[in-house]
Amino acid sequence: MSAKGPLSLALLVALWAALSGLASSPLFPTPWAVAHACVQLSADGSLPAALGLTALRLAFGYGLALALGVPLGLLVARSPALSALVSPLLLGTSSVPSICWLPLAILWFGLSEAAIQAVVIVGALVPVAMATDAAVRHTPDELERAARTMGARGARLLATVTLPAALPGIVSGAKVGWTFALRALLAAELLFVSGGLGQLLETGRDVGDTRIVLGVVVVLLALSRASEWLLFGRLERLVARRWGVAA
Amino acid sequence: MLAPAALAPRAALAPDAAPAPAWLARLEGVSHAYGRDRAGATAALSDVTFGVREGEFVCVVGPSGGGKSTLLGLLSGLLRPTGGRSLYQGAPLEGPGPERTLVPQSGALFPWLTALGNVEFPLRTMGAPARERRARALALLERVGLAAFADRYPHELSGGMRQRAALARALAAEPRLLLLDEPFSALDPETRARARAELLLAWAGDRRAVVVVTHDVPEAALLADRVVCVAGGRIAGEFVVALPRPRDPSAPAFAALVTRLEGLIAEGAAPSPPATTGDWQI
Repeated sequence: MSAKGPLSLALLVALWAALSGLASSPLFPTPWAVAHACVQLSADGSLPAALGLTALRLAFGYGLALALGVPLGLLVARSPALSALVSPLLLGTSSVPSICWLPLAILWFGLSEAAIQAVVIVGALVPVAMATDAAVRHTPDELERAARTMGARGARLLATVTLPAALPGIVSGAKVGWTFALRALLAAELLFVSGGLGQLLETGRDVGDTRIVLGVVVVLLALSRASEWLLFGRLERLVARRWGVAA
Repeated sequence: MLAPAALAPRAALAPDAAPAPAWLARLEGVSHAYGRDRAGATAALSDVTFGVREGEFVCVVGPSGGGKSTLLGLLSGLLRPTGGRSLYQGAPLEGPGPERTLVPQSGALFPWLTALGNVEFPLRTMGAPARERRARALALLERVGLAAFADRYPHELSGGMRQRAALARALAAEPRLLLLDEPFSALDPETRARARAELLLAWAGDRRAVVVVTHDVPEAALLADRVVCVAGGRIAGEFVVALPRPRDPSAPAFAALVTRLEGLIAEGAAPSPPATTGDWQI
Protein backbone atom coordinates (compact mmCIF):
# COMPACT_ATOMS: atom_id res chain seq x y z
CA MET A 1 0.00 0.00 0.00
CA SER A 2 1.51 3.26 -1.08
CA ALA A 3 1.62 6.49 0.88
CA LYS A 4 -1.18 7.72 -1.37
CA GLY A 5 -3.51 4.96 -0.11
CA PRO A 6 -5.06 6.93 2.77
CA LEU A 7 -5.47 10.00 0.57
CA SER A 8 -7.37 8.19 -2.16
CA LEU A 9 -9.48 6.47 0.49
CA ALA A 10 -10.38 9.84 2.00
CA LEU A 11 -11.25 11.16 -1.46
CA LEU A 12 -13.50 8.17 -2.12
CA VAL A 13 -15.34 8.61 1.19
CA ALA A 14 -15.76 12.37 0.54
CA LEU A 15 -17.15 11.73 -2.94
CA TRP A 16 -19.49 9.07 -1.58
CA ALA A 17 -20.68 11.38 1.21
CA ALA A 18 -21.31 14.23 -1.26
CA LEU A 19 -23.19 12.09 -3.79
CA SER A 20 -25.29 10.27 -1.19
CA GLY A 21 -26.06 13.65 0.44
CA LEU A 22 -27.28 14.96 -2.93
CA ALA A 23 -29.28 11.81 -3.66
CA SER A 24 -30.75 11.75 -0.17
CA SER A 25 -32.40 8.39 -0.84
CA PRO A 26 -32.52 5.13 1.15
CA LEU A 27 -31.20 3.48 -2.03
CA PHE A 28 -27.94 5.43 -1.65
CA PRO A 29 -26.98 5.50 2.01
CA THR A 30 -24.28 7.82 3.37
CA PRO A 31 -20.92 6.42 4.56
CA TRP A 32 -21.97 7.03 8.15
CA ALA A 33 -25.22 5.09 7.74
CA VAL A 34 -23.26 2.19 6.26
CA ALA A 35 -20.70 2.38 9.08
CA HIS A 36 -23.54 2.34 11.58
CA ALA A 37 -25.07 -0.71 9.90
CA CYS A 38 -21.70 -2.46 10.01
CA VAL A 39 -21.42 -1.76 13.73
CA GLN A 40 -24.91 -3.18 14.25
CA LEU A 41 -24.14 -6.28 12.18
CA SER A 42 -20.95 -6.73 14.17
CA ALA A 43 -22.81 -6.37 17.45
CA ASP A 44 -25.35 -9.04 16.55
CA GLY A 45 -22.53 -11.29 15.36
CA SER A 46 -23.74 -11.83 11.81
CA LEU A 47 -20.96 -9.88 10.09
CA PRO A 48 -18.05 -11.47 12.02
CA ALA A 49 -19.56 -14.93 11.47
CA ALA A 50 -19.98 -14.34 7.73
CA LEU A 51 -16.49 -12.84 7.43
CA GLY A 52 -14.99 -15.72 9.41
CA LEU A 53 -16.71 -18.31 7.23
CA THR A 54 -15.67 -16.62 3.98
CA ALA A 55 -12.08 -16.20 5.18
CA LEU A 56 -11.93 -19.83 6.31
CA ARG A 57 -13.25 -21.09 2.96
CA LEU A 58 -10.83 -18.89 1.10
CA ALA A 59 -7.87 -20.03 3.19
CA PHE A 60 -8.76 -23.70 2.73
CA GLY A 61 -9.58 -23.58 -0.99
CA TYR A 62 -6.70 -21.30 -1.89
CA GLY A 63 -4.26 -23.26 0.25
CA LEU A 64 -5.27 -26.47 -1.48
CA ALA A 65 -5.08 -24.79 -4.91
CA LEU A 66 -1.50 -23.66 -4.15
CA ALA A 67 -0.53 -27.07 -2.78
CA LEU A 68 -1.80 -28.74 -5.97
CA GLY A 69 -1.13 -25.99 -8.52
CA VAL A 70 2.60 -25.44 -7.88
CA PRO A 71 3.53 -29.13 -8.20
CA LEU A 72 1.22 -29.49 -11.21
CA GLY A 73 2.89 -26.52 -12.94
CA LEU A 74 6.30 -27.98 -12.13
CA LEU A 75 5.36 -31.38 -13.59
CA VAL A 76 3.92 -29.79 -16.73
CA ALA A 77 7.07 -27.70 -17.18
CA ARG A 78 9.29 -30.74 -16.84
CA SER A 79 7.35 -33.33 -18.83
CA PRO A 80 6.78 -32.58 -22.52
CA ALA A 81 4.24 -35.43 -22.68
CA LEU A 82 2.24 -34.12 -19.73
CA SER A 83 2.51 -30.60 -21.09
CA ALA A 84 1.04 -31.65 -24.44
CA LEU A 85 -1.81 -33.30 -22.55
CA VAL A 86 -2.52 -30.78 -19.79
CA SER A 87 -1.52 -27.37 -21.17
CA PRO A 88 -4.46 -27.04 -23.61
CA LEU A 89 -6.77 -28.16 -20.81
CA LEU A 90 -5.40 -25.49 -18.44
CA LEU A 91 -5.59 -22.85 -21.13
CA GLY A 92 -9.17 -23.82 -21.97
CA THR A 93 -10.23 -23.90 -18.33
CA SER A 94 -8.65 -20.52 -17.69
CA SER A 95 -10.82 -18.91 -20.36
CA VAL A 96 -14.03 -19.99 -18.60
CA PRO A 97 -15.04 -18.22 -15.37
CA SER A 98 -14.71 -20.88 -12.69
CA ILE A 99 -18.22 -20.16 -11.37
CA CYS A 100 -19.50 -21.93 -14.50
CA TRP A 101 -18.48 -25.16 -12.80
CA LEU A 102 -20.87 -24.55 -9.88
CA PRO A 103 -23.95 -26.25 -11.38
CA LEU A 104 -21.89 -29.34 -12.16
CA ALA A 105 -20.26 -29.23 -8.73
CA ILE A 106 -23.72 -29.03 -7.10
CA LEU A 107 -24.91 -32.02 -9.11
CA TRP A 108 -21.81 -33.95 -8.12
CA PHE A 109 -21.42 -32.90 -4.50
CA GLY A 110 -24.88 -31.57 -3.57
CA LEU A 111 -25.46 -28.26 -1.81
CA SER A 112 -22.31 -28.68 0.25
CA GLU A 113 -18.98 -27.16 1.19
CA ALA A 114 -17.40 -29.52 -1.32
CA ALA A 115 -19.29 -27.86 -4.18
CA ILE A 116 -18.11 -24.41 -3.12
CA GLN A 117 -14.54 -25.60 -2.62
CA ALA A 118 -14.51 -27.26 -6.03
CA VAL A 119 -15.24 -23.91 -7.68
CA VAL A 120 -12.68 -22.02 -5.57
CA ILE A 121 -9.96 -24.62 -6.16
CA VAL A 122 -10.51 -24.77 -9.92
CA GLY A 123 -10.54 -20.97 -10.08
CA ALA A 124 -7.24 -20.55 -8.22
CA LEU A 125 -5.41 -23.69 -9.30
CA VAL A 126 -5.40 -22.93 -13.01
CA PRO A 127 -3.57 -19.57 -12.89
CA VAL A 128 -1.16 -20.89 -10.23
CA ALA A 129 -0.29 -23.96 -12.30
CA MET A 130 0.07 -21.96 -15.50
CA ALA A 131 2.28 -19.32 -13.88
CA THR A 132 4.47 -21.99 -12.25
CA ASP A 133 4.81 -23.81 -15.57
CA ALA A 134 5.85 -20.62 -17.37
CA ALA A 135 8.19 -19.52 -14.58
CA VAL A 136 10.02 -22.87 -14.48
CA ARG A 137 10.33 -23.03 -18.25
CA HIS A 138 11.70 -19.51 -18.45
CA THR A 139 14.34 -20.03 -15.78
CA PRO A 140 17.80 -19.98 -17.39
CA ASP A 141 19.05 -23.56 -17.75
CA GLU A 142 22.51 -22.52 -16.66
CA LEU A 143 21.41 -22.08 -13.03
CA GLU A 144 20.43 -25.74 -12.78
CA ARG A 145 23.45 -26.81 -14.77
CA ALA A 146 25.79 -24.92 -12.45
CA ALA A 147 24.05 -26.46 -9.44
CA ARG A 148 24.42 -29.95 -10.89
CA THR A 149 28.17 -29.48 -11.27
CA MET A 150 28.20 -28.52 -7.59
CA GLY A 151 26.58 -31.76 -6.50
CA ALA A 152 22.88 -30.82 -6.33
CA ARG A 153 20.43 -33.29 -7.82
CA GLY A 154 16.94 -34.74 -7.53
CA ALA A 155 14.57 -33.33 -4.94
CA ARG A 156 17.33 -31.20 -3.49
CA LEU A 157 17.96 -29.53 -6.84
CA LEU A 158 14.23 -28.91 -7.18
CA ALA A 159 13.89 -27.39 -3.72
CA THR A 160 17.10 -25.37 -3.63
CA VAL A 161 17.36 -24.19 -7.25
CA THR A 162 14.39 -24.87 -9.53
CA LEU A 163 11.67 -23.49 -7.25
CA PRO A 164 13.60 -20.48 -5.88
CA ALA A 165 14.62 -19.58 -9.43
CA ALA A 166 10.96 -19.60 -10.48
CA LEU A 167 9.77 -17.72 -7.38
CA PRO A 168 9.06 -14.32 -8.98
CA GLY A 169 6.77 -15.93 -11.56
CA ILE A 170 5.13 -18.19 -8.97
CA VAL A 171 4.41 -15.21 -6.69
CA SER A 172 2.65 -13.28 -9.45
CA GLY A 173 0.68 -16.40 -10.40
CA ALA A 174 -0.26 -16.94 -6.75
CA LYS A 175 -1.52 -13.36 -6.60
CA VAL A 176 -3.75 -13.85 -9.63
CA GLY A 177 -4.92 -17.14 -8.12
CA TRP A 178 -5.89 -15.34 -4.92
CA THR A 179 -8.07 -12.85 -6.80
CA PHE A 180 -9.69 -15.66 -8.79
CA ALA A 181 -10.36 -17.65 -5.61
CA LEU A 182 -12.07 -14.66 -3.97
CA ARG A 183 -14.23 -14.03 -7.04
CA ALA A 184 -15.24 -17.65 -7.39
CA LEU A 185 -16.07 -17.92 -3.70
CA LEU A 186 -18.26 -14.80 -3.61
CA ALA A 187 -20.11 -15.90 -6.72
CA ALA A 188 -20.73 -19.32 -5.18
CA GLU A 189 -21.89 -17.83 -1.88
CA LEU A 190 -24.30 -15.52 -3.72
CA LEU A 191 -25.76 -18.41 -5.68
CA PHE A 192 -26.70 -20.68 -2.87
CA VAL A 193 -27.48 -20.30 0.78
CA SER A 194 -24.31 -21.25 2.59
CA GLY A 195 -23.42 -18.47 5.03
CA GLY A 196 -20.47 -16.21 4.36
CA LEU A 197 -20.28 -12.67 3.04
CA GLY A 198 -21.92 -13.60 -0.25
CA GLN A 199 -25.03 -14.71 1.56
CA LEU A 200 -25.02 -11.59 3.73
CA LEU A 201 -25.05 -9.57 0.49
CA GLU A 202 -28.08 -11.54 -0.64
CA THR A 203 -29.75 -10.98 2.73
CA GLY A 204 -29.23 -7.24 2.33
CA ARG A 205 -30.92 -7.37 -1.05
CA ASP A 206 -33.77 -9.55 0.26
CA VAL A 207 -34.63 -7.09 3.02
CA GLY A 208 -33.99 -4.14 0.71
CA ASP A 209 -31.32 -2.68 3.00
CA THR A 210 -28.67 -0.97 0.88
CA ARG A 211 -26.68 -0.19 4.00
CA ILE A 212 -26.01 -3.91 4.51
CA VAL A 213 -25.18 -4.44 0.84
CA LEU A 214 -22.70 -1.56 0.75
CA GLY A 215 -21.33 -2.49 4.16
CA VAL A 216 -20.47 -5.98 2.95
CA VAL A 217 -18.87 -4.55 -0.18
CA VAL A 218 -16.69 -2.30 1.98
CA VAL A 219 -15.73 -5.27 4.17
CA LEU A 220 -14.85 -7.29 1.05
CA LEU A 221 -12.74 -4.45 -0.24
CA ALA A 222 -10.90 -4.29 3.07
CA LEU A 223 -10.49 -8.09 3.15
CA SER A 224 -9.06 -8.16 -0.34
CA ARG A 225 -6.64 -5.28 0.20
CA ALA A 226 -5.54 -6.51 3.62
CA SER A 227 -4.96 -10.07 2.45
CA GLU A 228 -2.97 -8.95 -0.57
CA TRP A 229 -0.90 -6.71 1.65
CA LEU A 230 -0.31 -9.38 4.27
CA LEU A 231 0.19 -12.32 1.93
CA PHE A 232 1.93 -10.83 -1.06
CA GLY A 233 3.39 -7.51 0.07
CA ARG A 234 6.20 -9.21 1.96
CA LEU A 235 6.90 -11.72 -0.78
CA GLU A 236 6.97 -9.05 -3.46
CA ARG A 237 9.36 -6.90 -1.45
CA LEU A 238 11.57 -9.94 -0.94
CA VAL A 239 11.58 -10.70 -4.66
CA ALA A 240 12.29 -7.06 -5.49
CA ARG A 241 15.20 -6.94 -3.08
CA ARG A 242 16.81 -10.19 -4.19
CA TRP A 243 16.20 -10.11 -7.91
CA GLY A 244 16.34 -6.34 -8.22
CA VAL A 245 13.03 -6.42 -10.12
CA ALA A 246 9.34 -6.15 -9.36
CA ALA A 247 7.44 -9.44 -9.45
CA MET B 1 65.25 -15.93 -22.87
CA LEU B 2 62.74 -17.53 -25.18
CA ALA B 3 64.35 -20.78 -26.13
CA PRO B 4 62.77 -22.92 -28.85
CA ALA B 5 61.83 -25.26 -26.01
CA ALA B 6 59.39 -22.65 -24.75
CA LEU B 7 57.00 -23.88 -27.38
CA ALA B 8 57.44 -27.59 -27.46
CA PRO B 9 55.28 -29.63 -29.79
CA ARG B 10 53.17 -32.26 -28.10
CA ALA B 11 55.37 -35.03 -29.40
CA ALA B 12 58.16 -33.72 -27.19
CA LEU B 13 56.16 -34.81 -24.17
CA ALA B 14 56.33 -38.34 -25.53
CA PRO B 15 53.45 -39.70 -23.43
CA ASP B 16 54.11 -43.23 -24.69
CA ALA B 17 57.79 -43.15 -23.76
CA ALA B 18 57.85 -41.57 -20.29
CA PRO B 19 55.17 -42.22 -17.67
CA ALA B 20 53.32 -38.92 -17.98
CA PRO B 21 50.97 -37.94 -15.11
CA ALA B 22 47.68 -39.84 -15.29
CA TRP B 23 44.78 -38.41 -17.24
CA LEU B 24 42.28 -36.95 -14.82
CA ALA B 25 39.66 -36.51 -17.50
CA ARG B 26 39.77 -37.62 -21.09
CA LEU B 27 37.59 -37.49 -24.17
CA GLU B 28 38.35 -40.35 -26.56
CA GLY B 29 37.22 -39.87 -30.15
CA VAL B 30 34.26 -37.88 -28.89
CA SER B 31 31.59 -36.34 -31.10
CA HIS B 32 28.72 -34.20 -29.96
CA ALA B 33 25.76 -32.90 -31.91
CA TYR B 34 23.05 -30.64 -30.49
CA GLY B 35 19.40 -30.97 -31.32
CA ARG B 36 16.88 -33.75 -31.11
CA ASP B 37 17.52 -34.98 -34.62
CA ARG B 38 21.04 -36.20 -34.13
CA ALA B 39 21.39 -37.39 -37.69
CA GLY B 40 20.47 -34.03 -39.21
CA ALA B 41 22.12 -31.82 -36.60
CA THR B 42 25.49 -30.30 -37.30
CA ALA B 43 28.19 -31.64 -35.04
CA ALA B 44 29.57 -29.18 -32.49
CA LEU B 45 32.51 -31.54 -32.00
CA SER B 46 33.56 -34.45 -34.15
CA ASP B 47 36.05 -37.16 -33.25
CA VAL B 48 37.91 -35.15 -30.64
CA THR B 49 40.51 -36.69 -28.37
CA PHE B 50 41.48 -34.45 -25.49
CA GLY B 51 42.77 -35.02 -21.99
CA VAL B 52 43.57 -33.12 -18.83
CA ARG B 53 46.19 -34.41 -16.42
CA GLU B 54 46.09 -34.12 -12.66
CA GLY B 55 47.01 -30.58 -11.62
CA GLU B 56 47.38 -29.37 -15.19
CA PHE B 57 46.35 -25.91 -16.36
CA VAL B 58 44.94 -26.05 -19.90
CA CYS B 59 43.63 -23.13 -21.92
CA VAL B 60 41.27 -23.75 -24.82
CA VAL B 61 41.36 -21.08 -27.51
CA GLY B 62 39.74 -20.76 -30.90
CA PRO B 63 37.05 -18.94 -32.84
CA SER B 64 33.48 -18.53 -31.57
CA GLY B 65 31.22 -21.44 -32.39
CA GLY B 66 34.20 -23.73 -32.77
CA GLY B 67 33.11 -26.13 -30.03
CA LYS B 68 35.03 -24.80 -27.03
CA SER B 69 32.03 -24.62 -24.69
CA THR B 70 30.84 -28.04 -25.88
CA LEU B 71 34.23 -29.41 -24.86
CA LEU B 72 33.74 -28.03 -21.32
CA GLY B 73 30.19 -29.41 -21.19
CA LEU B 74 31.47 -32.87 -22.09
CA LEU B 75 34.27 -32.74 -19.50
CA SER B 76 31.77 -31.70 -16.81
CA GLY B 77 29.39 -34.53 -17.69
CA LEU B 78 26.52 -32.10 -18.36
CA LEU B 79 26.70 -33.09 -22.03
CA ARG B 80 26.89 -36.67 -23.17
CA PRO B 81 28.92 -37.59 -26.20
CA THR B 82 26.89 -38.69 -29.20
CA GLY B 83 29.94 -40.70 -30.24
CA GLY B 84 33.12 -41.85 -28.51
CA ARG B 85 33.75 -42.00 -24.77
CA SER B 86 34.21 -39.42 -22.04
CA LEU B 87 36.19 -40.67 -19.09
CA TYR B 88 36.92 -39.36 -15.64
CA GLN B 89 39.71 -41.07 -13.71
CA GLY B 90 39.54 -43.84 -16.26
CA ALA B 91 35.83 -44.61 -15.79
CA PRO B 92 33.03 -43.58 -18.16
CA LEU B 93 31.39 -40.33 -17.13
CA GLU B 94 27.75 -40.83 -16.10
CA GLY B 95 26.78 -37.23 -15.33
CA PRO B 96 27.86 -34.02 -13.63
CA GLY B 97 29.34 -34.03 -10.14
CA PRO B 98 30.99 -31.66 -7.66
CA GLU B 99 34.47 -32.99 -8.45
CA ARG B 100 34.14 -31.34 -11.89
CA THR B 101 32.69 -27.87 -11.34
CA LEU B 102 31.75 -25.76 -14.34
CA VAL B 103 31.49 -21.97 -14.23
CA PRO B 104 29.59 -20.71 -17.28
CA GLN B 105 30.40 -17.39 -18.92
CA SER B 106 27.74 -15.48 -16.99
CA GLY B 107 28.81 -16.97 -13.67
CA ALA B 108 25.26 -18.29 -13.13
CA LEU B 109 25.08 -17.00 -9.57
CA PHE B 110 21.75 -17.68 -7.88
CA PRO B 111 19.91 -14.34 -7.73
CA TRP B 112 17.97 -15.27 -4.59
CA LEU B 113 21.14 -15.86 -2.54
CA THR B 114 23.70 -13.36 -1.30
CA ALA B 115 27.34 -13.71 -2.36
CA LEU B 116 27.88 -15.63 0.88
CA GLY B 117 24.81 -17.80 0.27
CA ASN B 118 26.03 -18.59 -3.22
CA VAL B 119 29.47 -19.65 -2.00
CA GLU B 120 27.83 -21.70 0.75
CA PHE B 121 25.66 -23.52 -1.79
CA PRO B 122 28.06 -26.35 -2.71
CA LEU B 123 29.06 -26.72 0.95
CA ARG B 124 25.39 -27.10 1.80
CA THR B 125 24.85 -29.81 -0.82
CA MET B 126 27.89 -31.60 0.58
CA GLY B 127 26.31 -31.45 4.04
CA ALA B 128 28.86 -29.26 5.83
CA PRO B 129 27.66 -28.02 9.25
CA ALA B 130 26.36 -24.42 9.29
CA ARG B 131 29.26 -22.88 11.19
CA GLU B 132 31.97 -24.53 9.12
CA ARG B 133 30.07 -23.65 5.94
CA ARG B 134 29.96 -20.00 6.83
CA ALA B 135 33.61 -19.87 7.86
CA ARG B 136 34.81 -21.58 4.68
CA ALA B 137 32.59 -19.47 2.44
CA LEU B 138 33.83 -16.28 4.10
CA ALA B 139 37.44 -17.41 3.69
CA LEU B 140 36.85 -18.02 -0.01
CA LEU B 141 35.19 -14.63 -0.47
CA GLU B 142 38.17 -13.10 1.32
CA ARG B 143 40.46 -14.88 -1.12
CA VAL B 144 38.73 -13.33 -4.15
CA GLY B 145 38.54 -9.92 -2.45
CA LEU B 146 34.80 -9.93 -1.80
CA ALA B 147 34.67 -10.27 1.98
CA ALA B 148 33.10 -6.82 2.27
CA PHE B 149 30.36 -7.81 -0.17
CA ALA B 150 29.30 -11.08 1.45
CA ASP B 151 25.76 -9.86 2.12
CA ARG B 152 25.12 -8.38 -1.32
CA TYR B 153 22.80 -10.02 -3.82
CA PRO B 154 24.20 -10.71 -7.30
CA HIS B 155 22.32 -7.81 -8.90
CA GLU B 156 24.03 -5.50 -6.42
CA LEU B 157 27.51 -6.62 -7.57
CA SER B 158 29.49 -5.45 -10.58
CA GLY B 159 30.21 -7.85 -13.45
CA GLY B 160 33.72 -8.46 -12.19
CA MET B 161 32.55 -9.11 -8.65
CA ARG B 162 29.97 -11.58 -9.93
CA GLN B 163 32.61 -13.55 -11.80
CA ARG B 164 34.86 -13.58 -8.76
CA ALA B 165 31.97 -14.73 -6.58
CA ALA B 166 31.24 -17.48 -9.11
CA LEU B 167 34.90 -18.56 -8.93
CA ALA B 168 34.74 -18.63 -5.13
CA ARG B 169 31.55 -20.71 -5.31
CA ALA B 170 33.16 -23.18 -7.70
CA LEU B 171 36.23 -23.48 -5.43
CA ALA B 172 33.93 -24.17 -2.47
CA ALA B 173 32.92 -27.43 -4.16
CA GLU B 174 36.62 -28.47 -3.93
CA PRO B 175 36.67 -29.79 -7.49
CA ARG B 176 39.53 -31.92 -8.82
CA LEU B 177 38.80 -30.35 -12.19
CA LEU B 178 37.72 -26.71 -12.48
CA LEU B 179 36.11 -25.76 -15.79
CA LEU B 180 35.82 -22.05 -16.59
CA ASP B 181 34.06 -20.74 -19.68
CA GLU B 182 35.48 -17.31 -20.61
CA PRO B 183 35.71 -16.30 -16.97
CA PHE B 184 37.32 -12.92 -17.56
CA SER B 185 35.66 -11.78 -20.76
CA ALA B 186 33.38 -9.22 -19.09
CA LEU B 187 36.09 -7.60 -16.98
CA ASP B 188 38.00 -4.39 -17.44
CA PRO B 189 41.78 -4.83 -17.89
CA GLU B 190 42.75 -4.16 -14.27
CA THR B 191 40.07 -6.40 -12.78
CA ARG B 192 41.01 -8.98 -15.35
CA ALA B 193 44.66 -9.00 -14.31
CA ARG B 194 43.63 -9.33 -10.70
CA ALA B 195 41.16 -12.13 -11.39
CA ARG B 196 43.83 -14.03 -13.34
CA ALA B 197 46.26 -13.66 -10.48
CA GLU B 198 43.58 -14.98 -8.10
CA LEU B 199 42.90 -17.93 -10.34
CA LEU B 200 46.61 -18.75 -10.62
CA LEU B 201 46.92 -18.55 -6.84
CA ALA B 202 43.94 -20.84 -6.39
CA TRP B 203 45.41 -23.27 -8.88
CA ALA B 204 48.97 -23.15 -7.53
CA GLY B 205 47.75 -23.55 -3.96
CA ASP B 206 45.57 -26.60 -4.54
CA ARG B 207 47.14 -28.10 -7.68
CA ARG B 208 43.73 -28.93 -9.05
CA ALA B 209 43.39 -29.31 -12.79
CA VAL B 210 41.95 -26.25 -14.52
CA VAL B 211 40.54 -25.87 -18.03
CA VAL B 212 39.84 -22.29 -19.12
CA VAL B 213 38.10 -21.37 -22.36
CA THR B 214 39.29 -17.98 -23.57
CA HIS B 215 39.43 -15.81 -26.67
CA ASP B 216 42.48 -14.06 -25.41
CA VAL B 217 45.78 -15.58 -26.58
CA PRO B 218 48.04 -13.56 -24.24
CA GLU B 219 45.82 -14.72 -21.40
CA ALA B 220 46.24 -18.34 -22.48
CA ALA B 221 50.02 -17.87 -22.72
CA LEU B 222 50.09 -16.30 -19.28
CA LEU B 223 48.06 -19.00 -17.57
CA ALA B 224 48.43 -22.33 -19.26
CA ASP B 225 50.75 -25.32 -19.16
CA ARG B 226 49.21 -26.33 -22.44
CA VAL B 227 47.17 -24.41 -25.01
CA VAL B 228 44.66 -26.28 -27.15
CA CYS B 229 43.06 -24.69 -30.18
CA VAL B 230 39.56 -25.88 -31.03
CA ALA B 231 38.12 -24.82 -34.38
CA GLY B 232 35.40 -26.23 -36.58
CA GLY B 233 34.57 -28.94 -34.04
CA ARG B 234 38.10 -30.36 -34.09
CA ILE B 235 41.33 -29.97 -32.20
CA ALA B 236 43.19 -27.72 -34.59
CA GLY B 237 46.39 -27.57 -32.63
CA GLU B 238 47.91 -28.20 -29.27
CA PHE B 239 51.16 -27.06 -27.72
CA VAL B 240 52.98 -26.84 -24.44
CA VAL B 241 53.96 -23.50 -22.93
CA ALA B 242 57.24 -24.14 -21.19
CA LEU B 243 57.89 -20.62 -19.88
CA PRO B 244 58.54 -20.77 -16.16
CA ARG B 245 56.09 -19.07 -13.82
CA PRO B 246 55.54 -16.35 -12.78
CA ARG B 247 55.39 -15.16 -16.37
CA ASP B 248 55.98 -11.52 -17.05
CA PRO B 249 53.63 -10.25 -19.76
CA SER B 250 55.88 -7.25 -20.38
CA ALA B 251 58.98 -9.38 -21.08
CA PRO B 252 60.08 -9.57 -24.75
CA ALA B 253 60.19 -13.34 -24.53
CA PHE B 254 56.53 -13.42 -23.55
CA ALA B 255 55.56 -11.08 -26.38
CA ALA B 256 57.45 -13.28 -28.86
CA LEU B 257 55.66 -16.34 -27.53
CA VAL B 258 52.25 -14.69 -27.91
CA THR B 259 53.03 -13.62 -31.47
CA ARG B 260 53.97 -17.15 -32.42
CA LEU B 261 50.95 -18.62 -30.68
CA GLU B 262 48.66 -16.22 -32.50
CA GLY B 263 50.22 -17.15 -35.79
CA LEU B 264 49.83 -20.83 -35.11
CA ILE B 265 46.24 -20.42 -33.97
CA ALA B 266 45.35 -18.42 -37.07
CA GLU B 267 46.90 -21.17 -39.16
CA GLY B 268 45.21 -23.95 -37.20
CA ALA B 269 41.83 -22.25 -37.17
CA ALA B 270 41.91 -21.77 -40.95
CA PRO B 271 39.25 -23.76 -42.83
CA SER B 272 41.77 -26.36 -44.00
CA PRO B 273 44.51 -26.77 -41.38
CA PRO B 274 47.86 -27.74 -42.86
CA ALA B 275 48.66 -30.38 -40.27
CA THR B 276 45.96 -33.05 -39.98
CA THR B 277 47.55 -34.40 -36.82
CA GLY B 278 46.93 -31.12 -35.09
CA ASP B 279 50.54 -30.85 -33.94
CA TRP B 280 52.90 -28.15 -34.90
CA GLN B 281 56.58 -28.51 -35.36
CA ILE B 282 58.31 -25.36 -34.29
